[in-house]
Amino acid sequence: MFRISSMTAAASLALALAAPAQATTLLDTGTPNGLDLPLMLSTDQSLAVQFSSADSELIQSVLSYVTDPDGTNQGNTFQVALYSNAGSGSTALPGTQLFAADVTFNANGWNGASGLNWLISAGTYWAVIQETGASTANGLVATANKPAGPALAAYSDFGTWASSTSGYGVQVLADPVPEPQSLALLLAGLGVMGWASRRAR
Amino acid sequence: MTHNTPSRGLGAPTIVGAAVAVLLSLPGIGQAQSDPVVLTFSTIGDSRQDPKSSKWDPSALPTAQDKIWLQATRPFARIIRTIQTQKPQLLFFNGDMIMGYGRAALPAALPATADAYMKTDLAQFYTQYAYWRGMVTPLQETGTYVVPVPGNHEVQCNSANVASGVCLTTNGGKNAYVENENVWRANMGDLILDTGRLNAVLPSGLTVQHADVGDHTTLDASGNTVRYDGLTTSQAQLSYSFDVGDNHFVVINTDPTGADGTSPNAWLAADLSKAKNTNGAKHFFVFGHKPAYTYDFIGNGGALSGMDAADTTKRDVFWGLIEQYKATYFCGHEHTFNMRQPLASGSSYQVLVGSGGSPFDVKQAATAPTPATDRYYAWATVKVYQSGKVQIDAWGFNGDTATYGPTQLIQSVTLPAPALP
Repeated sequence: MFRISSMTAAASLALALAAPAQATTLLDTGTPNGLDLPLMLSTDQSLAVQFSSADSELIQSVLSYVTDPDGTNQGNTFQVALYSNAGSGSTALPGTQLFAADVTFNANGWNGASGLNWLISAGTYWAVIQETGASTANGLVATANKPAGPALAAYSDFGTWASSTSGYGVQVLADPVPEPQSLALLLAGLGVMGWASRRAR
Repeated sequence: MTHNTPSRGLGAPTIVGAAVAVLLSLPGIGQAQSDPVVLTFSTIGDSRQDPKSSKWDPSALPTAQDKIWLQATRPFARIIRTIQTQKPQLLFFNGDMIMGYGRAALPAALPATADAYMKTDLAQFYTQYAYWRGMVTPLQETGTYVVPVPGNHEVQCNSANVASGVCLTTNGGKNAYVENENVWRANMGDLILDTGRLNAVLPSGLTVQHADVGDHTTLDASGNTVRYDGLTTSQAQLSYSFDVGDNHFVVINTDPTGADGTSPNAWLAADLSKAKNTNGAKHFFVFGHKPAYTYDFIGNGGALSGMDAADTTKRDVFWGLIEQYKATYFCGHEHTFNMRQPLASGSSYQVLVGSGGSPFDVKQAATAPTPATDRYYAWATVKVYQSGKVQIDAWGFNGDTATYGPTQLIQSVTLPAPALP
């Protein structure tokens, strides 16, 4: 007879399959060492760090290490974005923008956006800190990390990208995307739960 | 759309909650909203280009375009569009916007050809002014009023650049002429001072007041009207001042005819006194071309090129006024960046932002210049807060890379609010 014990087993199976694996850190430059001059963020200048993913991932959070020298930007907005990769090796640069999200500046240090659900496939990408015409921040700077490591860094001059010898503080966190087989088992588990519930009634 | 809260998907862990959103609280972080910026201005100078490679910087070869218009177009264009993103209400340009350095007088005889006509000093002055005005127009059309300051290239003639006998060879062959001062007014006068246009870009509640743009005269002991500082030519629209709120802005011509390399100290003293004691100004910002104290960069060898080269006594009077009124002096002339307090016993800053595109004075040695910002194209953006605090941020980018470097914050100074009377 399928009673509570059966439902519990089915529920456990479904939930176990539904619970994602541990979150993945796709990029973490660490807190910048500040060995180079802080870099301006503006509609003129965006900053980028390259990273790679071996699998499909669901990017949840992108954070950047920024400061407000003039103390005028609390509550103002800038953006974090995801760009494709153009080129290869040491000459690689950001390509086209794939996703973007507004960030509200709270305080000097790590500021970012979360709950993004940006789906990417395996490959190389660029995490970008930028301002658009709609951004309200003015005068924010990204604390520099010199040398630019562990990933390639770049800056833009009104959309024209060039490699940078300074890096910036960026973190990209993601959830792995469930495999198709796992999804099938999940649905099966949920189906068992439904059948068990009807049997119990 | 701002995403600053974690999603709540099926079983999704609270990544953000455990994530690295480390918020570093700093003292006074809430002060930003209670102490807003009331006025922002930027300042830079020296965007002219040499007609051929500079003896100071052989690597700075002018482009074909710049050989004609004698403007360092590429770096200056990058500077302009970056300043635009900072949205200052004013940009003070501290001189040497043109190569000039000739004598802008009517030629003795009408040139035989149009090409020869356009090559006269007079035509060249107008041409170069027009090109510079075109370059700064985007700023003016996007909310930044450009305030011009005369530099030595605008008002002086260099005898080495002209035929023998055209210009004086005294004073190192560099002397100001009334013709050049007149041509300055002809090409810049509409900006000095268009109060309607300036008021249109100022924040609500602020207007320009107490503009003093005419010639500066006083009465001598006999009751005769004479010019301040014994000057022989009108300094109207060359040295001038105005107020925005309780901020007093003064532009000085550091190369008046007959007194090259000096500041109009007597007029400046009267002007500052009136601004403070009659009009209630609290902040004093002075703009001139030549520095009061030459920045002795590595490789300069102690050579003087500022007001200290002409007359250190007058320079000391000038700087005494700056310190007395706790003013800040912004200047150029030396093609480099330097921001410092010249006197250990003083509190005022000299902000040298003379790297607006002209060939760097600091030579490009085999090893990197020290500091690296000696060869940065740089400007200062100043924010005046409601509390009276003033923040001077110097921004710039490395001029020695093929694509230039990213724009960086290269130095920052905070001036405390003026003490209450």
